[in-house]
Amino acid sequence: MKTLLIRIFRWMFGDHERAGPTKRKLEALFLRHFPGQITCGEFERFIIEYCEGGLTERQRRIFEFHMGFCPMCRVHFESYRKTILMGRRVFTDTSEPVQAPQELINAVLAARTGGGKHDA
Amino acid sequence: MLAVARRLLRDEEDARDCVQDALLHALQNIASFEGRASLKTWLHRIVVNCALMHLRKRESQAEQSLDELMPKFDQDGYLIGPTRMAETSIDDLLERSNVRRLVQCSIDRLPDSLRTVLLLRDIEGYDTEEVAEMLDISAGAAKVRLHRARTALRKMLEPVFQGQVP
Repeated sequence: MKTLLIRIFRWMFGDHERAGPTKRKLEALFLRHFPGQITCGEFERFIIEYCEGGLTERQRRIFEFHMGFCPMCRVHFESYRKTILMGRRVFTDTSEPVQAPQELINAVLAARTGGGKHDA
Repeated sequence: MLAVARRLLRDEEDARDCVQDALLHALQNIASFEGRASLKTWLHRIVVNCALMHLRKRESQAEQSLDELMPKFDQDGYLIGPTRMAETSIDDLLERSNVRRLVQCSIDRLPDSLRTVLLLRDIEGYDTEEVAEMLDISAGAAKVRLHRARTALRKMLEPVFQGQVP
């Protein structure tokens, strides 16, 4: 049922770039006022809670339903998700451990020795 | 520890000072280490806290407006943006040094208030509650900053997702 609905919605919204102004206005009215639908703006505001697992089951279904038929939001969300993963990977994919500079090690040791004298 | 400090502070000298402070702090407080977390986790937390203190000490920089990096909507409420993206896997993208450099530079371009949250949450792996506690802000504020940071970064990386970066 959900898949069928998404297919119908994709038929309605799928050719978004070529849709005329009247069709776009009708679609926008539908998203604003039809129960269980959200606008792209609402979708965007829900993204963080969706990623954090903070949506209720019903909200999650509505979110995923919108993503299923709205091509702009689908691309937006997919690139948002890729952004998180790429940021993480860029900093964590280091095969070589970072070596602390010798002068830093010396500075720490010197400060430690100084601290010991002070304590004594 | 130095790598964490470098990520947060973006300045080699500040990062070294920070690690020195963190190590001293750790040595002076080793008695308070209760072994509930691993030593690595304990040291990581100390260096993050020291880096945050260094950041607070810095003169607050005028933060560049991020408005142009936030999503735009047309008059009917539709998201303005591409409807397709290049079918390239993250592994393939990250094999390109240009892309890796762009990701790092883009994160560095974020204002400190957003970059810090992004680094702590997405890269250092703290949960949102922990990040909020470290920064002394509410969990809600941490989420807002995190979302803005990710959204701005996403926009900066859009040419990568559209297959426009070699």
